[in-house]
Amino acid sequence: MVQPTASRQSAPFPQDSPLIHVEHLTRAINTRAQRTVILDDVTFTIPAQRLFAINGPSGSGKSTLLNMLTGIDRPSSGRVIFGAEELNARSENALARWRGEHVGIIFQFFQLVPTLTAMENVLLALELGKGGGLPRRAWRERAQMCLETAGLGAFSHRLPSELSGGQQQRVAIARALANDPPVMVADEPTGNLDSRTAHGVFDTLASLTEVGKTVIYVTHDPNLAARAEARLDLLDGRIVGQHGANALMASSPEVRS
Amino acid sequence: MSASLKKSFADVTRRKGRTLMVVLGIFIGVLGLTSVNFIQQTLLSAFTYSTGTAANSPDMTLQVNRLDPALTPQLSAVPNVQAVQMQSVVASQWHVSATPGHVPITLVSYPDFQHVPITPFQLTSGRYPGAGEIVLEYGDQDVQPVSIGETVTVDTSQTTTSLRVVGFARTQGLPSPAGSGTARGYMSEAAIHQAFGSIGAAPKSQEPQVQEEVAFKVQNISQVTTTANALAQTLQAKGVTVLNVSIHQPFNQERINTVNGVFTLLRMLSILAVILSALLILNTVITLIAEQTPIIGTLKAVGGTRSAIVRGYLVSVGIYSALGTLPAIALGLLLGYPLASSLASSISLAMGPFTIFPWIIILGLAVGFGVPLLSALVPLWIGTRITVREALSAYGISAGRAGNRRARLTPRRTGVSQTTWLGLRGVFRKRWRAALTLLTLTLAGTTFLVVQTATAATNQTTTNAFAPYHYDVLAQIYAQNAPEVAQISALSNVGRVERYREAEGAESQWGQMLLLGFQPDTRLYTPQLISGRWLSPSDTNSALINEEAATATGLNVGDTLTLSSAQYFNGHLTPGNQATWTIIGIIHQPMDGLGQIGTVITSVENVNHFFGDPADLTPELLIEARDHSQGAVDALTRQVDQLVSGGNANGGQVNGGQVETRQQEVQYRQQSWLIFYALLYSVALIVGRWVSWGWQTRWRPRCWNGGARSACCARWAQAPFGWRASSGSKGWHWAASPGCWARCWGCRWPMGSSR
Repeated sequence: MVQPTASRQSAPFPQDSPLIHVEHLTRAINTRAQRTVILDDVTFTIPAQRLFAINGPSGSGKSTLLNMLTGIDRPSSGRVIFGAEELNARSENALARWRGEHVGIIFQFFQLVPTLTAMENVLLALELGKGGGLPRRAWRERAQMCLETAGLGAFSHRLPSELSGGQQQRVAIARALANDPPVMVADEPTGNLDSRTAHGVFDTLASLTEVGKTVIYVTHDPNLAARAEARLDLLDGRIVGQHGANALMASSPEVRS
Repeated sequence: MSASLKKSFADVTRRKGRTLMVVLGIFIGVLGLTSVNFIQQTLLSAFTYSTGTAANSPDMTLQVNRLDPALTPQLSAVPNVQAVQMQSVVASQWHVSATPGHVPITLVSYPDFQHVPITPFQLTSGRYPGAGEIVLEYGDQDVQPVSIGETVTVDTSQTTTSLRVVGFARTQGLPSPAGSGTARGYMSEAAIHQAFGSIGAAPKSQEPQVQEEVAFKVQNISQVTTTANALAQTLQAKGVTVLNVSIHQPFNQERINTVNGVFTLLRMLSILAVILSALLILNTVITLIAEQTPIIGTLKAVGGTRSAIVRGYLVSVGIYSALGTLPAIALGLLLGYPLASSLASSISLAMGPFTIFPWIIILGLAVGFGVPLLSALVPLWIGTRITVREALSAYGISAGRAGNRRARLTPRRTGVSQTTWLGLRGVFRKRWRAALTLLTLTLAGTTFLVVQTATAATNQTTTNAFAPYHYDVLAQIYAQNAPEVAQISALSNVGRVERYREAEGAESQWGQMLLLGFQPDTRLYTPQLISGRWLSPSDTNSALINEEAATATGLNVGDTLTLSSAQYFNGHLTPGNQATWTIIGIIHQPMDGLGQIGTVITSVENVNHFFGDPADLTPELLIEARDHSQGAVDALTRQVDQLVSGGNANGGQVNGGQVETRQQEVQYRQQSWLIFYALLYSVALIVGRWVSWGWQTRWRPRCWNGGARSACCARWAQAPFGWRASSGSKGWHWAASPGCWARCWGCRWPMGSSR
């Protein structure tokens, strides 16, 4: 596997430095019938350049939490601080721009543009994210490198429909890498794959920490969760356990067990 | 190509059927608008050209016994003369393969082909003609396909002459031969006199076969008569005898006004098509957004701003627009010119050369690109407002509208099945969308009814206009005591022959009228009297008017009607023949053309006298066949054509020569509207198809997929559409109301001229 060059974005966040602070995060959905609390006063810190898992059963609020971390969803109260910037203060467009530069997102169902080839899917992310500071002429080379990093260099001109589920997820990983963000976020990245393929994809994802990426992933699979260097266990919207990166956890304002 | 541009193209090409319909929708709207604007502008330019000082058509022509080019400077010196042109003209018959086998052709020669100040022409291919050669007008090829080097055959006074085609020419201001029915050719002076002779040699004729003419363009048309007298005196002083003076009538202003009405209709329909295209673009974009909601979410998740995403979809709409607009503008201009030529010839308006008007192209581009882009902007802006979470989450709790009162009216309580309930909810869930859909359907239905009633009304009007006529063949004779009349009467299949004349150019104080001349004892025309009586042989200055004329003039039986053959030139009435007739009856005689306010029916003799022709002139013949079968009538038509054209070939005085069946005449008149019909029906068809297609695709795909994914049968998944289609029928029902307007209007629309 070809490793990407050291991240331009990664540099400001040395390993194990606090990258994301989550403070008293609450998310509730109000309907006419009832008020449903999805996340209830969650506080924790994610260390940089680590493999970080958010674990929990279905309905525990882990995907909602991940959406908060990327600015896809907004909390009812509390705040998410990425580096030194608070995400809640940003508009939708500003958040989109911010995601393009700082976060690579990998979805459970891949979410590739079906009419574009693997290469073009990666190039599209480069266009939207302004190429991570690279000049336009270098984008194609960058996209090819990302595909090779994801283990899919030979399939760059195939449409998603011509790729297997695992290969499509690798394209999604390559797309997430395109703008060289410091953080990779994956929501059940192997949830739609068979176990053998899942391990291969996960290995690829996990290896990105070696090149300075912080990888945050959501899973309900205890085995995959166990592979994380740091982990948060959720149940019914509350933190019920946290593992690894103890020093950082201790530095967080409040830890609920 | 960038990935985002590739995606925009892919969105266009992915669903080819949808793309085709969107592009066709834009295409039809822009095509209609462009062609209508082009035709109107071309006719307006032709009008300006014809009446302006730059016009090259002659204002008057003096027929003389001989041409003397040396007199040109003296004639030019006569006051009010602007230009002088000497020419030799032969009215002949061109043998063609199409029935009835002849086409009238005007052969012209000039002393100097290089200097033709009036009705100038230019070679488009080949060279100027020499002995035994001819240059044909370019449009003659529409009458009979012919190439340079081939030979054409024309009838002369004595025999048939073959002429080799050595070139093609384009004559400024000449109506298209296909439209006018008369071809045109240019020969050298020597050749035309050699082939046709100056004076007819046949004992039956004392008329010159080659008419020597001097054409004039004057500075002040109101003084044309005075100028004509001065020119005649000048010529006679030099020993040249003036045989006849023709003052050319300008085009009929009233007709162009009527044509403007047709343009208004076409423009309205084109604008309607554009509006519907906009609605359909709206529909397409909504569908596209619904289909691509997860993609929009993904694009936002990977860094796409709302404006960047909107821009990408606008590029797709721009591609639709380009595919529809650019060919539509090109085709609109290309189709517009022949249509304008056809219309120009039918209203005696000289067409100018093909000219592209920049504003028409700019307007076409603005409409073709602007309307779709603007109509797409709103749904795109709203559609891309969706958050990433909303776009990507297919499960989980959300603050939706579940729990409202309507939702609580469950199928269980109402007794309606689940699938039917889903369909009903689909109709009323988005009120603005339902209203928009009904509006679209109503407009489409209105378009369809407008077109249907308009075309049906014009066709029916033409049919009605011919209903009182019982002839089988119509022959143009325009001759006195022509032996052909007796010969035609003697043909075995001829049951009855009657003299007849149809003429335009009768000006009343209310506007121009069509003149129809019949034999008082006619049996080939059944007058449908509303009041008064029909003509009797003893009537001298009596006439009937049709309902339209009575309505327009307010005249009734017993009143008098004064008509003039004069025309208005730049606001001045020029002298001409006048006639005052007593109205003895009002008749039902529908009109199927343009530019006339009504029809006046009188005797052939009265019409002849009105136009200064001898009373015993036989202009046209209505011929009734004994055997009305198609084959027998066709055979009779050929026999009559041979006699009529033989009259020319054998030195007779027959000046007409066009022979056609009643059916051909009806078809010709109906077909003159074909281009309008094609345009109108195209608009209606495309819009109708588009709308019905829109119904099937606008349904939220996720709902549909939901049904299919639920492992239910396809019927379940499609059942909700039944309810939506039923709401669609409301639109067509509502369309009937404005359609009534179209029906009323359609019945009145052809109020114009001819018959």
